Amino acid sequence: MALRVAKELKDGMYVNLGFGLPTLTSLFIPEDIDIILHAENGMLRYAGVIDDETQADADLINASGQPTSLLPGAAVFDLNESFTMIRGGHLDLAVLGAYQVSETGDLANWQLQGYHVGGIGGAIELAQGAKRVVVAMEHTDKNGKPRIVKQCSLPLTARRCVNTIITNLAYIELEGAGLVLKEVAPGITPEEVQANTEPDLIISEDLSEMEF
Amino acid sequence: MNKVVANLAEAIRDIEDGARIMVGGFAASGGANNLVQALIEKGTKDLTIICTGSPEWMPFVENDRAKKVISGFTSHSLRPEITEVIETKVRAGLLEVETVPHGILSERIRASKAGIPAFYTPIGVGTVFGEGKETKLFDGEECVLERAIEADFALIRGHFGDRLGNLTCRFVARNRNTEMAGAATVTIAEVEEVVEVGDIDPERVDIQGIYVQRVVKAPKIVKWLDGHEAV
Repeated sequence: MALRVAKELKDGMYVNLGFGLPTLTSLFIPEDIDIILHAENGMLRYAGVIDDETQADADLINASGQPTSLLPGAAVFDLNESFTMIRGGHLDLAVLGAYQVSETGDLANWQLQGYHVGGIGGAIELAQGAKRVVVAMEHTDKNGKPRIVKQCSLPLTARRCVNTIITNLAYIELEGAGLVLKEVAPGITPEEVQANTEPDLIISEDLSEMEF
Repeated sequence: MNKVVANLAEAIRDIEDGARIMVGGFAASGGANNLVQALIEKGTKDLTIICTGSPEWMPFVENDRAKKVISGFTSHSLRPEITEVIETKVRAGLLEVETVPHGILSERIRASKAGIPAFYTPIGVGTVFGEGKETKLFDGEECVLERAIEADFALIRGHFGDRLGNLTCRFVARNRNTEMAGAATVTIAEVEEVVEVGDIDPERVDIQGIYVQRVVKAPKIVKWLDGHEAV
């Protein structure tokens, strides 16, 4: 999944990788292209996660709180500036995790059913502010229920914001007509994808197998 | 002019029960952990804590010193057991939470600092974050009215500080510290080093002394999100 997400990253893009799973994508960015990663806690042009704790600097962390480092040409700034970048439409792409995505592109990714507390963080601004929003998530939840639904049952992060869904099973574009199945993971049939998806999928004429 | 105070206890001497407090920091970086600890030791309670997430509110919640938490993460991003602690207190009516998107919180804090009572934004429309708020159309786009957020005290962390209250921040430790400085009635900064006036290059001042009332020297305490601490 992270490998497929990495293929969405094109030379010259300013990209925010949201909390958790999408952060993995930073490990798979091709070396021959120049992507500038934005961290909502105040960095442009940061590198991968540092595993060696003795090398960690708490003032050089990504938005998931993991130690990282700055690449040449990096900039640091405060949260207000960071969200000016996000809300102002200056990011080309945001990759977010999700609990649910609806067939109209509504996103739910901050609060579990029945809870009063939750973690919205910067997800709402990224979802509404980035030029393009890619959701990367497991196709079904831990009980095997579809995460791509007709209507989100969980509290929404933002309405009509998702452009693309990448899962362990499929690559789906949200277009005017609905959810268009463009790619299936190796060994997966379109019927299997549909069986695990609540709304009807439109099978693309150019349907292909996912390449990494 | 000398804003440097002798110790943490003196820095927080007049924070009383029921105060509204902004606490700087984002994950392991830039937290005013010494000032927070001093406030816990002082026993001040019924506080409203305005902050980024769990590293800032956790000491107040675990010690039953908060009556309300206003934060981008009122759950814990990595540790479900901490989420359960705060959720249980909310369900028991012991604590109120308000989850506010990071950027909205940032702008509400900045508005307070800048003397702007409210502003319109499209962020939150159609979700619980926009519910119950005045709306207005701008160029056909629906926006909600967000109010400035005020506080009695801001507890922030700088790297170098001088007796005039000028501060520098290291890398991403700017986070909420820059916006919170001056957004509360009294801003208290803990710093790694107190330096002489003139030692900080004017072009490197991240937080201008006009926003800061007190400066106290205190060691850097790092609390990683997974729970382990390091100095």
